[in-house]
Amino acid sequence: MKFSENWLKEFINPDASSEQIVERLSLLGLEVDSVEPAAPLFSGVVVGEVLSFEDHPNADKLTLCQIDVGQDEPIAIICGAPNIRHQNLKVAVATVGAVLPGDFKIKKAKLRGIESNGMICSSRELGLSDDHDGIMHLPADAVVGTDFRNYYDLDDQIVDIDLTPNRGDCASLKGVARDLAAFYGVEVCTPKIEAVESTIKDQITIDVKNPEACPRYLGRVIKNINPKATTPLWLSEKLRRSGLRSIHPVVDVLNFVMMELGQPMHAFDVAKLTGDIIVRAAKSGEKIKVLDEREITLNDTTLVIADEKEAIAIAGMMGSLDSSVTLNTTDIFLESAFFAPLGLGSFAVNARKYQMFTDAAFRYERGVDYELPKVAMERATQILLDIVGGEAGPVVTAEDHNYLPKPVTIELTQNKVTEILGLEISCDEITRILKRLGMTVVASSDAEWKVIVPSFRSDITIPVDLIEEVIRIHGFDHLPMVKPNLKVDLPKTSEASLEHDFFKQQMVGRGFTEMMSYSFVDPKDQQLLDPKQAAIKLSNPISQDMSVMRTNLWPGLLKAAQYNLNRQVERLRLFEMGTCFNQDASGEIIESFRIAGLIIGELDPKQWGEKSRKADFYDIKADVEALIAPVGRLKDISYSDQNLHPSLHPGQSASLMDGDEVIGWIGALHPAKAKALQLKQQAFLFEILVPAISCSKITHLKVLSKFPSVSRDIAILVDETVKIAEIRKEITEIAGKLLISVQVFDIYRGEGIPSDQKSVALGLIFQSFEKTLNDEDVDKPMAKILESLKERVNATLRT
Amino acid sequence: MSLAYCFICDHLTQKQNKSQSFYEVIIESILLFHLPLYFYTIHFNTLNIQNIGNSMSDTIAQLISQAEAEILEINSLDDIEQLRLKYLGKKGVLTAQLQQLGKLSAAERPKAGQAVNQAKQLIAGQLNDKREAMQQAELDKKLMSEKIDVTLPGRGQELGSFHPLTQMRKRVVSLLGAVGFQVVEGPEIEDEYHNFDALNTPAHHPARSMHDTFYIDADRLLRTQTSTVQIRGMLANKPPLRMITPGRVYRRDSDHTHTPMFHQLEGLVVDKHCNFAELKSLLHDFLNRLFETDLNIRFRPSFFPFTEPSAEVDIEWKKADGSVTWLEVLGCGMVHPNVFKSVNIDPDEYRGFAFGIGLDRLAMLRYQIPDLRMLFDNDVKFLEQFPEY
Repeated sequence: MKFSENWLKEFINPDASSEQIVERLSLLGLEVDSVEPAAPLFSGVVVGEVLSFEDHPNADKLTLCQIDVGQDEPIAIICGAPNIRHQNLKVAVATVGAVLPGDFKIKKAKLRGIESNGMICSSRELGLSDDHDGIMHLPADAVVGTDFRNYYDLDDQIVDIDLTPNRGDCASLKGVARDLAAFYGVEVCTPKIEAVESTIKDQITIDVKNPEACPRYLGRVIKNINPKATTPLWLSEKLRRSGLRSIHPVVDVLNFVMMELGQPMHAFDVAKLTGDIIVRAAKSGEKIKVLDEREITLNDTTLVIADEKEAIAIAGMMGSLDSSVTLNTTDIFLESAFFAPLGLGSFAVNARKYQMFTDAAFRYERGVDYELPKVAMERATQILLDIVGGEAGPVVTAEDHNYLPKPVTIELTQNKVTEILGLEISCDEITRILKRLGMTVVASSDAEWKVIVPSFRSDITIPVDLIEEVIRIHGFDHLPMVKPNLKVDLPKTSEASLEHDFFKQQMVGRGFTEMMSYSFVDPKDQQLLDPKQAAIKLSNPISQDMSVMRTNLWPGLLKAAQYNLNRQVERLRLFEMGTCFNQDASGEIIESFRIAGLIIGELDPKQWGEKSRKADFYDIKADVEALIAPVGRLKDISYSDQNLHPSLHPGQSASLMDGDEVIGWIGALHPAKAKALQLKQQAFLFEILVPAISCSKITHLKVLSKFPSVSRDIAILVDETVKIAEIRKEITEIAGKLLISVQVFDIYRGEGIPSDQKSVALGLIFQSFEKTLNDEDVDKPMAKILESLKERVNATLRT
Repeated sequence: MSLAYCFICDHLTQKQNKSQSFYEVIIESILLFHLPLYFYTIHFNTLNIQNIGNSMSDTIAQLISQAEAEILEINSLDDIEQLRLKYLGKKGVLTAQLQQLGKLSAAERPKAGQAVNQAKQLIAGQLNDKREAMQQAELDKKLMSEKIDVTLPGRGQELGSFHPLTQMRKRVVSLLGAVGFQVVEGPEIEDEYHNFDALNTPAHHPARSMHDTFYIDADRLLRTQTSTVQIRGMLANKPPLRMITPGRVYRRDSDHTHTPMFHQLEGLVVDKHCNFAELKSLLHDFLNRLFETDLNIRFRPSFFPFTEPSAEVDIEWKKADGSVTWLEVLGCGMVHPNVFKSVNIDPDEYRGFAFGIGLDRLAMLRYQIPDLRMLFDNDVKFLEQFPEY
């Protein structure tokens, strides 16, 4: 909420500097977002009067004016704005030597052969608004020659405070002043508001159908207002500094009262109403065209103000376009009401639904003082009669005390204050603070009180609310610091479970850079990179390319790859850990924590000592094994060509299997996917479900044999289609317990080998727990192995 | 060296007074002090030791002097062998001197024999020293020829880097973990109950518009705060409780200080005797430890539906341009009694305090990152700047 500091000072003027007041507002919980001057710096601008005007002899669109600026002689100024052409018009004149915002110096100038001695200003040129529809028209009573800054009271600041949702009571100058006054211990000067006697009998009957939503509704007719009246400068400037545009004198006065006291009000054009005012629930599907020209379809939990024909306002939010006051309006009906935040459905929910972020809705959502409508009605009438004239009818009140809020009484003890704050505040201080905030404090016994909360503090309902008030005014800076008594137990941790950080450490140690991407991705990318999963859609995404929840981590990785490849990076090793979101057949959401990596380009960074080589499947497989091996489950996990991921190259990818369960995928990005992503380099990817590899087992040492081992190397010829895993499996199954290890140390194709075959060199190590093995001991299992390999995979020993 | 020098001079002078042969003195000293021969050569001249008139001793002295001169001259291992043969070999000159002993009187013989043997030892020692020196020189030469450029970079894979948010999370978790806060995590897709209702934020509450929420459908949403996990934590465990809940949260907001996804860490203590003064002390210590400095910190009253009283915490921060400003770094407060009621904890028996930290914001301050969105651009030139952990 924005307001003028000078306006605030009309209510309260403590012995404190502007800076101190601004800081105090923040420290009272009314956080100051910004403080800006009421107008940018300029000088040499005075009030002038148009004495005469004539066409510029050499230009169609220019006017040559004689302007009285309070000097001995009028000065000649050429003006380009058409709205200058009014005899005796008061204007803002930048005289020769003036400096306007943006360090724009005004000099004598010749325009099409005629001298001009200054400039007549628009409000935009003075930094007062964005309005550029010609020059400013100043009120007729402006005194010629007065310095414009003084005339406009521009040595002022605009303070913008960020009101928390509980502080509806501070959505007015009076409310802000009340809080400051409680701190400084001074009085708030409120304007004297007296009931305005009615001079006519005109009135409109008010029929409240839903008193639970509108326990109090005040109406008043004012007839014969002057349609030509204008908003006085003092008022329009206060509104401008509150961030409100001057619209119509009647609307401006109501906005002024809202800013001053906190009561939102509305005015209808009586000529456009039919019959009584009816406050009722909207009919489901009922339509209303509101002031901002939107047509809103209402639901039946919305309260509307209606006449006998149709809805004329959404209660507390916005009036209809048709019933609004215009420049032709002569008779008005004023509304000042208390709408309950939860009377009929939820006011806030409906306001959000209809996108009604109006000043009135802002206040009603937070709760308006139910005792305020009467005061505000009189205040508004008083000012309206001054500005637009007319005759006021009697105030018609419709209220139902059954639904009006009752004053809240809270029991508070000093003990409770001390317990919550950890600071003993004296009983005197507690009562003083609460009283200054408008509470009625009655001591019920020693250090115990009954506190009656004023009608403007609907946020205060329980003792801790009062304690917050006490410390807010007392000041958190006076709260001591007491070391909390944090007894520490030894943590219950499992040695076998691996922290997420462990996997990150592992990846970083292997040269991977950790990245983080948004959890919502482009549905196109997600479909491309996980086509079998139906991604969860956001109903209100921030943009289309962030509209579905990721089902795997590859869209983020590949997007980051593209980003970097487009920025002269040729080699990438990236990984990410994060939650992915899937749904099962019944629509149940499954969140899974995953780790995924990507490599593109050379295996090693560009360097002097190694021959460069493109990374391939087996390089990323080594990275995956480095993640799995420390879990002690490397042997449990197999690489299968079943259940392949559709986004990977079918011939160069595998699924990671833990028994029958797929726990991850690894391989080259499918060329079709790469093409769709316009990725020119081959990417290798993996993704693993982290829980599947997080649970290790505690190692139990296997006893070591004290006898020497014997190793045998063999090379066998097999068909290309035979997998190494099959050979290993065959060997380990047939060899017996003496075989302790099988290593593949070479794969050879080429000269001397038939084209559809490969030579596989294997190193076998045998060892016994009972004795030193001799050749014969090893020959036997070796023969069995070769025989079995011959039989099962048609292997022949290479000699 | 100077001490040894004085000591030897003294020794030499004493011996000389006892009328010992100069060479006897020298040889004895060599054996005593293991000093190189040239040391004595110098002192032979400077100390002017009287020679004794024994012709064999003279010969030996000459041989020593000659051998010494020759040893100085030579520069190959072969030459050393030649000299060894010449002086110490079976047909060497000192062996010849031994053969001369027979010509001496019985009284002179032992003394002369001793002198020859001492001379042999002396020369053998010198030859050895020379050999070792030459071998050392040869090794040095070889080592120098193998010299490499140690400024060339190491081979193979380079180290990767951790995302700055991983680092910040790790730091915060380790600080709070040290005083017994347990890490608890929960789902990111939540329902209205955990995200709002249980946190004293019913649908009509104006605080709901404080965060613009991403919805999946009528009830399911992306959590706007990790306070949801506190609700789960309090439902699952009995007080006293001390937990931190780091994780991703989502709000519909995007500019240079807001991203639609960011990382929060909330802390919660539920115990019988918590109060705001303790909360203030804890957060004060936390911020000072985190930034490793003494910060100016202020608590400013604020509003959160799930705490009362509530405050925001600002730190005084020196900006890059040198100006000083208050920056909001966290929110906190005493747990609202309605929150306790919704998780079946008796608010008359227990009290609690909670605080929420934006990890992204802390990372921005700590690592001087000007734009929050850089954290999620995944530019490797940005990410690779964070290798530490």
